[in-house]
Amino acid sequence: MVKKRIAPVFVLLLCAIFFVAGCGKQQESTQKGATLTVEDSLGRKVTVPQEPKRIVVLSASFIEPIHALGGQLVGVPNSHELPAYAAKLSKVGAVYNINLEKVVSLHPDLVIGMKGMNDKLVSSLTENNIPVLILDMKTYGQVQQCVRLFGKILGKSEQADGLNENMDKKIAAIRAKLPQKGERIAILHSTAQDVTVQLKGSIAGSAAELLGLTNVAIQPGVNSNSESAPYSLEALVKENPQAIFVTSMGKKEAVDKSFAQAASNNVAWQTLPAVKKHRVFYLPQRYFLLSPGLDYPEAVAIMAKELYPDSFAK
Amino acid sequence: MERSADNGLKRHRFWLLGVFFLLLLLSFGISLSCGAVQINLLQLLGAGRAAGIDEQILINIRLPRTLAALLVGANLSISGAILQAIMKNPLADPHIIGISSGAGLAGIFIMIVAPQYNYLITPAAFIGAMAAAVAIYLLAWKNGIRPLRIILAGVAVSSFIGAFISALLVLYSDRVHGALMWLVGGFAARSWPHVELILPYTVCGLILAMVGSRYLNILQLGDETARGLGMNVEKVRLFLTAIAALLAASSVAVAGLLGFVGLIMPHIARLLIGGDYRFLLPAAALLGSGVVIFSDTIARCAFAPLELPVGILMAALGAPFFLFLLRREL
Repeated sequence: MVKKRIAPVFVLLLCAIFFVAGCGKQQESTQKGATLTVEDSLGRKVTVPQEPKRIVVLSASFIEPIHALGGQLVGVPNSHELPAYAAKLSKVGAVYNINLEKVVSLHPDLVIGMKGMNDKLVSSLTENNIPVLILDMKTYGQVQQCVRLFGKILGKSEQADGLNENMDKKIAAIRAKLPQKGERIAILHSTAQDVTVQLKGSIAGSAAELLGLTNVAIQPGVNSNSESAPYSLEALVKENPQAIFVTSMGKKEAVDKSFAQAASNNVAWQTLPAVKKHRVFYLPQRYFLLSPGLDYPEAVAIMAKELYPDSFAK
Repeated sequence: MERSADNGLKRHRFWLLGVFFLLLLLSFGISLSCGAVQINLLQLLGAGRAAGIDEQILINIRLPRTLAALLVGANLSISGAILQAIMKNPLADPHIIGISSGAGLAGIFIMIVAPQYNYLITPAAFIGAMAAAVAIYLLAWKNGIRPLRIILAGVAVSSFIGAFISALLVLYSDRVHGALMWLVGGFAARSWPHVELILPYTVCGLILAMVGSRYLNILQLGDETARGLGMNVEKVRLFLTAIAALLAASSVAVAGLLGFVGLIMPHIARLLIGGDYRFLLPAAALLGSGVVIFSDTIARCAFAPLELPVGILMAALGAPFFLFLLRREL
C-alpha cells in the first residue's frame, strides 16, 4: 500500500528535479579579446568588444555611420530604405517588433538599438551575454556623439572625427548663405487636428537650431530639450512666426495637400499670418521623421532652401 | 396638500435649472476671458473694431472653441442620460453602443494609414460611429431589443474593433503620436467649421430628447409596465437610441474620444435634481456644457503656453466631485 502511494510521488519528484536542473542559466564562455567600457544613452555602462566582427543593428539609422567607419554588419531590421550594401544582410524583423530569436541566432558580438523603440530587448539580450547599446540619434549633437562612440569602438576614432568635421563644415557653409538675422519659425507635427510643436530635442528642431532660426515655441515654462509638446494655438498666433514647417508622416505631396486643405477651411489656422501668406513648408519624412544620420547637412539644406530659395538658386 | 408639495418640488427644480444655467454662463465668460494670451475682455468690447490680433484670436480661436466645448458637453451628457434610461443600466454611456470604437477606428485609420486624407477625419469619424452603432443594434436584435443583449453586443463589438485599433497602433508605431492626441479627446484648433457641424445635431437632438423625456420616464418603470401603459417599447427604444447615437457621433467627430462626460454627468444631475427626465435632461445638458467648458479653460490656461488634453482634466476634477456627491447622498 505504501509502495502504491510513493511511486507516483517519487516519479513526480524526479521529473521536477530534472526540469529544474535543465532550466538553469547556460554559462556561455566569456568573450575573448580586448574589451572597453562605454556608456549608452540610457546611462548604462556596457562592456563591448574592441573592433566587433558581428554587429546587429535594430534600427536602419545606424547602418550608414557604422558602414562608413568600416564596421561589419551581420543583421539589419526590415526597412524600406536600406542602402544597397545592406540589402543582402539577414533581416531581424521590423524596428518596432524585433525578432529576438533571429538576433541571437546570428551570434552577434554587439547589438545597437534605438532608444524609445528597442529598450525592452535589453534584459533579454544581456541574459544571452550579448552586449547591447541603446542610443539616441535625433539631434545633431546626438548624431555626432554616436559617430564618436562608433569610432571609439571600431578603433577608427580619427575617421569618426573626420566625418563629424565634414558635417560641421557643410552645415557652416549652408548657414553662411543665410541672412544674419534668423527668422522666427514654428515647427508643427503633421495633423491639423491638434497643435503639437517640435522643440530642440526633435530632428527638425535641431536642424532649425543649427540654422540659427528662432523657434517661437521655446518659452519659459516649456522644457525646450524635449522632443515635442502640445501647444496653444492662441499663443502661437500671438508669437506670430514668419514661417511654419510641418513634419509629414507620409508621401510628401499628399500630405502637403491634406494639411493645406484642413487649414484652409479652419479659421483658427487662418488667423496665423504665416498660414494666410502661404509660408507653410513641408519637411519630408525621409530626413525628418527617421534620423538623417550622416545626412544631417542634407536635412539642414532642405530647411534652408525652403526658407530662402533665392540664396540657393544656382 | 400633495398638490402644493408637488408644486414646491417643481419650483425647487426650476430654481436649480436656473442656477445651472447661471453656472454655464459663468463658465462661458471665464473661458472667453482666460487663455494663453492675455486679453482684456472689457477693454476689447469698449475698443470696438480697432483691436487687431487680439480680436482675431478671440473671434477665430477662443469663441468657436468655447462654443464647440459647450455643444459637445451638452450632446454627450444628453446621450448618456438617454442611454442610461434605455439600458436601465447606470454604467451605460455613449461608448457602450460602439460610438467610440467605430469613430476611433475610422479616425485612426485615416491619421495613420492614409494621412493625405486628414481633412476627412471629422466626417469619417461620424460615419464610423454610426456604422458601429447600427451594427451593434442589428446584432442585438432578436424579436426586439433587450438591454442586456445590446450592452453585451456593444462590449463584444468594441473589443473586436479595439483589436484592429491596437494592431494599427502597433504596426505603425512611428506615426502613433499624431493619433494619440485625438484618442484622448480635446478641442485644440477647433473652429467655426466644427461648431457648424455639431450645432444642428445639438438643436434637433435636444428638442427630440425633450419630447421623448416623457417616454424615458415611463421606460424606467420596466418593459411590462410600459407596454401595459400603451407604449410601443421597441419603436421608442429604437428612436431614442438613434438620437443618442447621433448626438454622441457628432460629439466624437468634433472632439475625439472624450470619456467621462456621458457616463458621470447624468449621475451628477440625477443626484442634484432627481430622476424625472423632464428636468434631468436639461440639467444634464447644462451641467455637461459647464463642466466641459470649465475643464477646457483650465487645460488651456494652467500650463500656458502648453495645453493639456481636456479628457485628462475632466476625469481628474470630475471624478472626486462625483465621489463627494455620492458619499453625501447614499
